[in-house]
Parts: sequence; structure tokens; C-alpha cells
Amino acid sequence: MSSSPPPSSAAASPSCPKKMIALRSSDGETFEIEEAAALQSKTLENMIDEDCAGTPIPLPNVTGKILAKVVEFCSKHAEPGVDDESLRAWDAEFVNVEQATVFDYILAANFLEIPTLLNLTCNVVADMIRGKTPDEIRKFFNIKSIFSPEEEEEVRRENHWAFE
Amino acid sequence: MAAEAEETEELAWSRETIPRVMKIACARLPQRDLVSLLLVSPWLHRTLASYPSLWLVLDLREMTNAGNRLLGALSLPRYRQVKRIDLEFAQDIEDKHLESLENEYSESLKSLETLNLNGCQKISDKGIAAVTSCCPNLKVFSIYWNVRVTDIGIKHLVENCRHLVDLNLSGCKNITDKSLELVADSYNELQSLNLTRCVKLTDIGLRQILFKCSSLQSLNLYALSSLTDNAYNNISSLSHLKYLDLCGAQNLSDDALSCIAKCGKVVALNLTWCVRITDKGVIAVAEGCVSLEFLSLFGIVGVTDKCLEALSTTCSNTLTTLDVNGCIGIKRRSREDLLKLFPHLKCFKVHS
Repeated sequence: MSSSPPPSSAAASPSCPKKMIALRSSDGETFEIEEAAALQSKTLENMIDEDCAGTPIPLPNVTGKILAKVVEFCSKHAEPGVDDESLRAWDAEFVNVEQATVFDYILAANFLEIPTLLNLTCNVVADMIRGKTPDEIRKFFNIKSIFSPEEEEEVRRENHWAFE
Repeated sequence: MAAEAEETEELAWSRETIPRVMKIACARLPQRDLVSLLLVSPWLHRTLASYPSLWLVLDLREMTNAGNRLLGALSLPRYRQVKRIDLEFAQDIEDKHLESLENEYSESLKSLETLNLNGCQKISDKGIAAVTSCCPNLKVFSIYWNVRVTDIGIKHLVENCRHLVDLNLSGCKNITDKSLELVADSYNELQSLNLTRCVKLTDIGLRQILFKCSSLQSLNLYALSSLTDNAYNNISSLSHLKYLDLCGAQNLSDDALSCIAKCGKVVALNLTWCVRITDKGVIAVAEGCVSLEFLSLFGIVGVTDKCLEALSTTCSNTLTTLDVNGCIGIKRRSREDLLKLFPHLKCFKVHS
């Protein structure tokens, strides 16, 4: 029985089993991520195919703080042998952070096209919105609104059909 | 200075961050919450209202005053590309609303692909004429449990909507063979047809469908007890058939079922109350439909353990639903007995 690590999921790659990809955040930090983990991002998958040389891939839309967490998420989800229940619990902890951070995760997952992270984070936000009135949504997310009374009345009136 | 910076940050949050994030996150929200978001701020309104993919479905299921709500919604530009309208069990929707729709908002339904009028019992042929004249690209039309629809309404449907692939007329008791003729002549690409309880239909109408709608994958003939082998024999010409409901087909014989068994792609077959069937027919099914996943023999007293043995030689890997309740000719039909023959069975009861 071989004791070397299982080959990465990109079987066509000629490189050694545990290929590392370098990523650079918008604020200049560099992170390393296993190829298998990186492939969870469709954006990264496209970039990796084109370049095997190992220069860091610049990600101008993602800060170091967030990129570190994204790398953590993808690495966890690429780990073999994790059962569904543990992963779900881990995910729940991962998104147990303040609003602004969840929002950053959503924007990063959207830019990097990571379906698992996008689903997880969007569901969190959707759950926060479900069943709330517009006013409650404003309070919850601390949103300033500058609808004039006339504008507000108009928008309410034209959408009045949607509410029982 | 600090206060100013804070205010700018707050504004950036409300003006930019929130709309950007909501645009991505809100796609999975139910309609009511989506619309609530529009009312939150002008920036959210502007961002979301102009993003067409959020407004492709209009869900008015079970709502009161649905006719007026429908018109209210379609008056808004963001619904100009709506693809699906769901009025299942909506109340207070009448022909006059659909006629108003035709007069004022016909442009909004050019992209409509799915229209669900299930349970909208006040709609008649007039309403169908009006709404179908606005949606030439309709692919799925469902109007279950409506006894006002007649062949005239179906005539308008086939004239206006030339690309239907899925038609549900379950419970539309006043439909006759004339409608089936119209459907057969107009929809050669039809994939799904539900004629449950359309009791005026006869072999003549069904044969038209079976000869001309060769793309059918799903055919529901539940509670059409006056049909006979004259029609059933021709089901074999539907080479793409996957789902077939013959519940209540009291005239269906083993010979006809053996013909039907030639439809090798069938995965779901409902033979509840097909009381003339014996082992012979079911064994033919076992030999012909080797990927069967769902089978009901409920109430058939003429089948024995022999047919289950035949089924297990071909379908034991695929069968997950088997209802043999009331099949007193089968001696070994406890849960344990069935699991021995069909190890992947999950559901043992289809008919109540």
C-alpha cells in the first residue's frame, strides 16, 4: 500500500501530487493553497490551466483578511474523509461572524466563483431577510434610506399586489 | 472630521455594499421578501428592479384577489420578461382579468414559457383565448380541475401557442376527443400529457395522440375507465415513454400490457386497479422494462409470486417503489419478503 498522498483531482496535470498555487491579495499578502482546494474556484481553475509556472495569481478584489478565510474554507472542503455532519457544523461556525464579514465572503465567493461558499453565505443572508418588513430589514442591516415620502408611497403602491 | 468619515462609510455601506451583496444573495428569496427588499432603499430598488433575472417568476399561488394582483404586477416594467406565472389555487381570477391583460399588457407575456392555472375554476374558454393570444412562446400549460374549459378553449390554445411540450388537463371533464385531435395535429413534439379524469375521451381520441405525439415521455390516463385495448395497444409506439399512469384501466388486458412492455425506457408504471391483469402481463413488463423504478399492482388479484420473481430477475437493482397491497394472489408480500427480491425498495405504498 503506497503511503504517498492521493494524486490531486486535476489528473491531467503533469506536476507532482501536492501542487501548491500562490495567490496574492489586493493588499499584497501572499497565500499558498493546494491545487485540489483551488479548483473549487472556477475562476482559479481557469487561471491555473493557463499558467503552471507558479507566479502568484493576483486577486485585486479580495483583501488578505478575507482571502485567508477563503483559503481555509476551500482547503477544508477539499479534505478527504470528512463526514457530512462534521462539515455542516464546521460551515456553521465559519459563517458565525459579523455581517460585514459575511458580506465580504459573498463578494469573494461570487468573484472567485466558489459555489459551495456562495450557497452557504447567501443562505445566511437570505435567512436574515426572510419574513422581515422593509423597515425591519433597514434596522437589521443598518441601511440608510433616502426615499422621499412621495417616492416611498409610489413604490409601496405599485408593489402592493405582492403582499397579502 | 471623524463624524464626516463615518457618515461617508455609512453611506457607502447603504449605497454600494448592500445593493451589491443583495443582488447576489437575494435570488433564492421567495417573492414577498424580494419585493420587500425593493422597498428598503432607493439604491436597492434601482439595483434590483433593473436586474431582469430576479423577476422571471410571478408567484400568486393561493392568493386572494389574484386577478387584480396579476394586473398590478404586469403593469411594472421589471416583469416584461417574465417566464413563469403561477396562479395555482389563486382566488378571484376571472376571464375579465385575462381580457384586460390582453388589452393592456400583451407585450409583457412574449417570453412566457409556463402558465399554471390549476384550480382557477372561474376561467373559461374566453379567458384562455385571451391569455394564450399573448404568449406565443408558451411551453407548459396546466389548467387542472377546470370544468368550464371545452374543446373551444383548446382550439385557441393550439392556434396561439405552437410550441407546447407539456399539457395538463387533469380534471377538465368537458374535454372531448376533438381536443385530442387538435393536440395531436399541433403538438408533435409534446413530451408530457395529463388527461386524468377527462371522462368523455374515447379510444378514438387517444389513438390520435399515440400516432402523432411520438415524443411523449409522460402520459397520464388515470381514471379513464372506458378506454380499451384498441387504444392501449398503440402505446407501444411511444418509444420515449418513461412515465405511464393507467390507474383504473379496468379493460386493460395482458395482451395490451405485453405491447406496452415494448416501451423499454419506462421507469414508472401505475397499474392500480387494472383488474384484468395476470402474471402474463406483468412478466412481459419485467422482460421489456428493465429499468423500472416505480410499479403499482395495487388491487390486482390475478397476479401471483411468479410475476415478482420475473421482475426481480431484471429490475431488482432499479426498483425503489412497489405497491402490492391488495394483491391477494401474492403469498410472500411482507416488507421482508419484498426486500429480499428488491433490496433497494424504499416505498411500499402508492395508492391509499
